[in-house]
Amino acid sequence: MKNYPFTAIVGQDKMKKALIVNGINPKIGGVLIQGEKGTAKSTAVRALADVLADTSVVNLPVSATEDRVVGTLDMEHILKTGEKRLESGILAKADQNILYVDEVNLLEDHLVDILLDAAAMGVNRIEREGVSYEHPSRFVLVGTMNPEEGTLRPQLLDRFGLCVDVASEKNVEERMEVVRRRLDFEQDQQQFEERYVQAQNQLSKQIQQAQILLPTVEISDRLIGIVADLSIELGIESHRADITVITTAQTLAAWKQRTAVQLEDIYEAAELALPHRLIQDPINDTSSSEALAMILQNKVVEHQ
Amino acid sequence: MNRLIGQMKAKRGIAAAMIHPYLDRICIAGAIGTGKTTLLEAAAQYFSKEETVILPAHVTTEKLLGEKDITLLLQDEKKNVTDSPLYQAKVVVTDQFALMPASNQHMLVQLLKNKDIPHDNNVGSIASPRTAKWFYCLNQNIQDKQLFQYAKLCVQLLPIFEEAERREAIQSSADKKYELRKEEIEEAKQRLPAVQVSKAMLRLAVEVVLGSGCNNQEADIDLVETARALAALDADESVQQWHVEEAAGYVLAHRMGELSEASVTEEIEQQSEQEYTASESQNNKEHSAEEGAVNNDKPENITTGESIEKEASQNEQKETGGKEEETEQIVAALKVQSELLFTKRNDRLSGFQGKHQENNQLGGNGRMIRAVMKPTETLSLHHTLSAAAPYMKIREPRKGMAWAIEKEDMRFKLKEKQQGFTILFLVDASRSIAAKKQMQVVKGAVMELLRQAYQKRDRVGLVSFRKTEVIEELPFTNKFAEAKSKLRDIPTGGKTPLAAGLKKALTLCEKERRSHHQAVPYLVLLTDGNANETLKPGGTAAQARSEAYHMARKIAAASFPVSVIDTQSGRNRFGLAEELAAVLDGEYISLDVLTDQAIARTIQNKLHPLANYK
Repeated sequence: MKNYPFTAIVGQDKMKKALIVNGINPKIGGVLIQGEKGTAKSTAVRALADVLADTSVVNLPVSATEDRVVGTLDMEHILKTGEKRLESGILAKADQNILYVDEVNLLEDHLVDILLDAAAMGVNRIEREGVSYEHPSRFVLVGTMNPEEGTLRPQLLDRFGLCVDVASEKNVEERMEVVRRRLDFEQDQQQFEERYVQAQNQLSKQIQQAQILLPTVEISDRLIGIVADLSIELGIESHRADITVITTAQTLAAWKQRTAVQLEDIYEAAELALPHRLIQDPINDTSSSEALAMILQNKVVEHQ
Repeated sequence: MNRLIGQMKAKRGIAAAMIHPYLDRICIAGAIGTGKTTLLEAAAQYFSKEETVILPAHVTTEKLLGEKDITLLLQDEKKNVTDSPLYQAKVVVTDQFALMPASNQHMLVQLLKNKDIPHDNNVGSIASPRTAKWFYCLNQNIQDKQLFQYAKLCVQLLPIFEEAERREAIQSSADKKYELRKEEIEEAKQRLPAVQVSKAMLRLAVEVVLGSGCNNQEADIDLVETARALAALDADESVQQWHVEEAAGYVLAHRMGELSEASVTEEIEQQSEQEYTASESQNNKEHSAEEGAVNNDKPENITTGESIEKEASQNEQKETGGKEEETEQIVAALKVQSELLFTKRNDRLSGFQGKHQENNQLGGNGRMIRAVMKPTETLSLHHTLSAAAPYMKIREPRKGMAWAIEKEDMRFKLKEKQQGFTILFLVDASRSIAAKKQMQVVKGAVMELLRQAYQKRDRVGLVSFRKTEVIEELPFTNKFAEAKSKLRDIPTGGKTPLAAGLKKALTLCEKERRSHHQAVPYLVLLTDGNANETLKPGGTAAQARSEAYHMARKIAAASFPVSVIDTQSGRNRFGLAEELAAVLDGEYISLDVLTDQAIARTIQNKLHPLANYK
């Protein structure tokens, strides 16, 4: 079965942008996509791998066993030969790839612990059953969740570099277009893919160019100061927030074929990197991302 | 399928799913004894035995993911990796889906949805064929309506109230006329690719979905595809309005419950009204623009054919007038169906079904705590080999094996899931105390605890008692959003039926203990301890007191941890709550200043140091 082409997804620009910057620069630290069912979350994640070179999507099921995730002894090998051998788990497969957790808020507790460990160090250490072994496990963590089904542990939440909210489309015409494309895709995948082959190629080329450009992107001290100020103003404690904003802004600059970060990059990055780090009042209804958008809007106006 | 009398609607739904490969998750809903399983069996008969996978409710996580069979004691060297049963399955059937542990439910759905199953051959994951269809049965009266959401199609079986049909159902003669034969389905499958969807029908479908208040965009596609399958079944060349209408019943009714239950109807009405006005004005604009351009336009490639465009424009002209009414009609019909699915007719039943909600047995998935001799689901190879090691010199290994392992060496993994507490608030909402303000405080405390509930794995519930009634305001939950909507309005005032409140609390706690073997229910009672209403309303205050104490002793005998928070403060304390706490064998907490934070903190401090010692 073929994946639905990334460029054929209607709308959801913010989600697409967040995924692309992560594809360009894995150091951003992944993305958490929050939203209702049926908003092309999974489709977008799966499609992303097609426009990135040498990357695949490794799926982590929410109730997988610890053995499967971390890796365990290869029993068959031991019994046949008497030698110890490790059978690698999902974390080994995820190295240099995208680790995708659907419904990440339902991830079992013991798996969250493992994931936090590996994500923090970029290394999967196996210390169990008489095995001591470690292997690199640097992955782009992409999670999707429906916030109505429960929230995420704060440690894990902070681990995601970016966070985007997606909502379903309310416009009839747009929705019709979504259905139409999907119908065409189901009808003849080959033909459908051909229609988007040019757009797909262009996108992967742009991503590759951005990857080359990225190490040369510079950011002025003034802009770093602005990032710090913003965090202080919003009452964000995590320093990871600042670093993520800056990294994302650099990546965005590279994406736009520039070698210097501009103020608009900072605000664009902040919009992606900060919403889930704001302190949310549990009783108050206004969503933190809305509040953030307002503050950022005011800033933009100020600077003009 | 002919053994099912009547239920034409359900049969057509199943047939549609059979015809279209895209419609792959089907739920069969109905009350007890309406023939769910029979329908399921009938559906499975369309496939060969090898292609069908029947998953029992107790299927283990390892089995779902595919596991390695270890033949420690056998000698043959054949390949002993067992793939997941889902691998290359054409049909997956789970009759008792509701009885599966929640974690396995999630995983099964994910595996089916993502179409890839982690596969043990170091090549990576292998996508299972796209045709895997999943049928599951749900009893209409189940508590957790969330389970409906996994289905693309949901067919409902209705009880039959016509005598003739009912008689027929009892006799159930197998040689009646075949209604939907295998060949018919096959033929319809052939016709499917040619079935067209006109632009007008596409618009109608999207509008119906929007009108139903369903936000899920997947529903749009499912609806159109189902309508196409139905058209193929009827040997129609293009989708007609009644197909969309019929399909909506299968695709949308069960999704409408995704809205918060309490306000379903209200919201739908509001929303749909808005949508109508919005789409109406839009329609008018676009129509005028389109009609001019239609013939010159490139074909909008709705499906393969080109003639449809012309047809569509004709249809459109005809149908623009009646469009809003049609949508409205369909949505109204949907509401009825949805209500059938989502009304709780039998609250009485929830008791015995509740305990199946989650199965926390040892073994299965979780963190390993130690190795044991008693067989559990997974073998611990490391411990087994260690146990066998001392005997290696004197034992003779079996053929093809490097190790000599005997049955007595086997060690198994004992696993444990981290388990939180269940906290039940029992709140006095009577007049005798400043109930309204107090209720605010309690709600605050509940929300505060829930906010931490995910991390701590706690679940919180709330029961209030006043006048002559005891109300379960919030069934045990760890979902913040759900709790928030349920706790909005709790009335206060009236007498204090303390005994009835305690009785309810005892029932709930016992039920909870039975269903979650490891969960410890913890009861928090907020009261001034003054009982003045008996179990049967109308008794004297003295009777009320003795009854309450009698109940309290029962709770103490069941040895649930209890805390009594005194709502009286300062000097005018009667000491009644303190007395009650003593009878309950619980702890008395006097909070001079009652605040939500203080309560939440006190409870957390009580529970979680304790949790560490467990």
